[in-house]
Parts: sequence; C-alpha cells; structure tokens
Amino acid sequence: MITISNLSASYHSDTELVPAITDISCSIDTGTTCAVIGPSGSGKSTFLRCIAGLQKNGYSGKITFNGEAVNPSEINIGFMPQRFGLLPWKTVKENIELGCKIKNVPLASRRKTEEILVNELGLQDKLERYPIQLSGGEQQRVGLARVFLLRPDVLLMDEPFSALDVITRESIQKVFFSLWKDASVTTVFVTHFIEEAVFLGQQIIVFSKHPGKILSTIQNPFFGRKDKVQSEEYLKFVYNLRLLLEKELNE
Amino acid sequence: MNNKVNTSFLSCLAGAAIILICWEIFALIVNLPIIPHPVKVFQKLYMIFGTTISAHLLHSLYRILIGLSCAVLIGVPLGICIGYFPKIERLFSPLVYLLYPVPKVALLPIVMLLFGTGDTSKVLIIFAIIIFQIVLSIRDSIHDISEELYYPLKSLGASFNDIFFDILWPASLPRLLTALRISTATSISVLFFTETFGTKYGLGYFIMDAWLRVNYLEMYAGIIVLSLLGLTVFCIFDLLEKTFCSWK
Repeated sequence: MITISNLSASYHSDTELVPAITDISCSIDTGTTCAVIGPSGSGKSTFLRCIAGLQKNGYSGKITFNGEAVNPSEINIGFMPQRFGLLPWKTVKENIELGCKIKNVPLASRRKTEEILVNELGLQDKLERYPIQLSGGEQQRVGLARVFLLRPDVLLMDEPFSALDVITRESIQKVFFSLWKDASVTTVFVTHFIEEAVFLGQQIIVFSKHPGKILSTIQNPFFGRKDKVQSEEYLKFVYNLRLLLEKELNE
Repeated sequence: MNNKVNTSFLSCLAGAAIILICWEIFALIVNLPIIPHPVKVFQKLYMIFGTTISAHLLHSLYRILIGLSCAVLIGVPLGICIGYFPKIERLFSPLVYLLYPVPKVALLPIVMLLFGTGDTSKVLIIFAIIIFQIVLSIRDSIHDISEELYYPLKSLGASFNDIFFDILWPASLPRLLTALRISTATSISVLFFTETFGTKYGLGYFIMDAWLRVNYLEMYAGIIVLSLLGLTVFCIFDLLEKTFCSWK
C-alpha cells in the first residue's frame, strides 16, 4: 500500500518558492489503480514526482510503500512521462529492456515475458527501429512494454495517453487495461480526461486548482466497465465529476 | 545504402571537377606563374609526395590529432559536468565565457616562451581553440535534454554511471561531432600559422618555405594536401556521425 501523509511540495519561480500541492493525505491499496484528475497547474505531476522520489527539494510530508519510506533504489518504480520517455538513441528493443538493465534484472529470466509483451503490443517487426521511426501510438506501446517487462512494484504515469488521438488513445487504454489485469501492479496515473479516469481508476482523486489539495476521493464502480458507458448511472457519475471540476474552476 | 554512398561520392567528384575547371580557366586568363595550371600542380604533387610532403603531412597530422584528442578527453567530461551539475556550471561558465573570446593565436608568443618552439606550443594552441567549442556544445546539448528522459531512469534509482552512458553521452554525441567539425577547420588554419614559426616540419612550414623559394608549384601542392587533410578529417567525422548517430 502507498500511504501519503501531509504531503506539501513547492517549486522555485524566479524570485520565490511557490506551493504546488498542500497537505495531501491519501492511500492507494496494493494492486489497485488510482486516477488523479484536476485543473491544469493543480500540481498533479508534482504529486507523481514526489511519489517517484524525483522531487529532491522543496517538499515535506511522508510517503511510504508497505510501511517503508519510498526509496527508488530499493523498490521498482516504473515511471511513464507524458511523452513516454523513450530514449531516442536506443532502439525499441533497447528501450524495452532499459528498466531491467538499470535494475540489473537478468534479461534471460524475462525473455518469455518480453516475447509475450512484444507480441501483444504488436511490436515484433519494430524491435530494431528507433523511436523517431514510430508513430505516437507505437511509442506509447514501447513505453508500456518497458514498464511491464520490469514488473514494477509501483507504476506511475503522467498523462500517459494525452499525446494520442482519440481512436489510438482508446485502443491503448484497452491494451493497458489488459496488461494491468495480468500484472495487477499498484498504479497511480494523472489524466485530464474524466472518461479515462473512470475507465482505468479504481479510485479517483480530484485535485483542487492551484495549489493542489484533495477535493474529493471517490471509489469508482465503473472501473474497467466499457459495457456501462451508455448506462444512465455511468453518465450521471461522469457528469458529477465534470460538475465538481467545473465548480472548482469557476470559483 | 550503396546508392547513397555512390551519390555522395559522385557529388564530391562533381564539386572537385567544378573547382578544377574554374582554376584552369582562371590560370588561362591570368597567365602568371603565381596561378599555375592545376595539371602541373598535380604532377608536382605526385613527384614530391613520397619524398617530401608526406613527412610534413605526418607532422601536421600528429599535431592535430594530439590537440584534438586532448581537447576531447578534457572537454567532454568538463562540458558534461558543467551542463549537468548547476553548481559546477555557476563556477565554470563565467570562466569559459571570459576565456572563449580571447583570440588564441594572440597567445602564441606567450605559449612559445613558456613551452618552447617545439610541438608542445603548437598542440597547446590547437587544444585551446577546440576545447571551448567542445565544452560549450556539450553543455548546451545537456541543457537541451528534456527532464522527462531522466524520470524513468531516476525513478528506478539509476546511478550517475547509468545516466552518463544511457543519456548524457549519447545525447551530446551529435553536438560533439558538429563542434569537432567546425573547430577542426579553424585549428587547421591556425596550425598553418603556428607551423611558420620554430619548426622545419609541417605543412605550414612547407607552404611558406615554397613561397619564399618562389616555387609556386610546390606551394600549391602543399595547399592541396592541407585541404585534403581537412577533407579527410571531415569525412571521418561524417562517418562517425552516420555510425553512432543513426537514430537522428
């Protein structure tokens, strides 16, 4: 379980320290997903960076994973940034295997998984290509293969599907959901899309506008339920979330 | 791939042919010994290459290679440290900005007095010219790396070693090769100048000596070898870029 207590973080502007998030407390159960939504500039990305141990200065509070302080060198944290974070000078295969290389995981032990992932994600004939030779959707698939090959303890994704067009985004969401069901990795992701949060987040955390605070934490009954998207309950649920965000923006 | 190589080789030949034709036309119009016919120059070059020019070429090549290697060995780590560590940047950047605009050739008398008229002073001048361009290019290439690229590695607790070999070095390699290409051209020009002092070997010495002896054919032969030396170095950098930066 990820437990976050009284987390506040700030960043340096030209002249002063500006708070990005204030007094965030929440918990995310092991093997579940949590979607974070909120207005632009509400500190959602800062929140993720804090969990990943990437925010070295300017934060206070406590973040633990299974009771222990989060230490990137001790646990496997898969991080997928907005533009997928693929290294342009590495081939698709090298990018996929990068996480294992950093963590000194013998690749021989992951060959079977790698083969399955590559096949499931349709990357068989693209392994020797460079990221620049791939479409946005393909790059996203490589990013997913990289994090799932590592079998991380925690998966953090910062607007992972926002750079994709609607059709590709929905297709990749389904791919992600299928991979996630097999791995059941504890996942926190930030998104701008309410429908995405409802499809992929078992728990939805709504952030207030800048500086980010938790407005609401919602248990989502429609997680993974694409079959319910036309139902009245689903539409009402999404509408209420939208209303919450609109109200926050207009205040 | 073969077609590409053939096309670029043919373009190179076409370029050389245009220069030679212009040169021949100019020689015919001017009709003075100071502008000899290219055929005569190439005949002379063929005659003296093995006996005379090759020794001068090797000396020039040696000075360039040593200067270049030292600049890369010191400039790359320094550029990476300045680009990656803000504290080191705050310390070194003003120093680099202060020293970079100083015309290095103007330092030649001081360097000669301190290190003598031998190879050391010539290599030092080449080194001083190249290193600033390398340091600044590498620093800028590190600055240009998106923060996002570090996140997947740092979140896994990557060491500086991992960051260096997986991100910093490959990201800075294209700019390094560009900097080397530009600064090598400058250093060849400066090498010519430095070799006119305190040495009896080097293409600079050979060209100036031929000029003083009013042997224009040898002088032009020396100039052609000097430009071919530059061309070879450029081709090597192009090849390195194609091999190691094919991801661009």
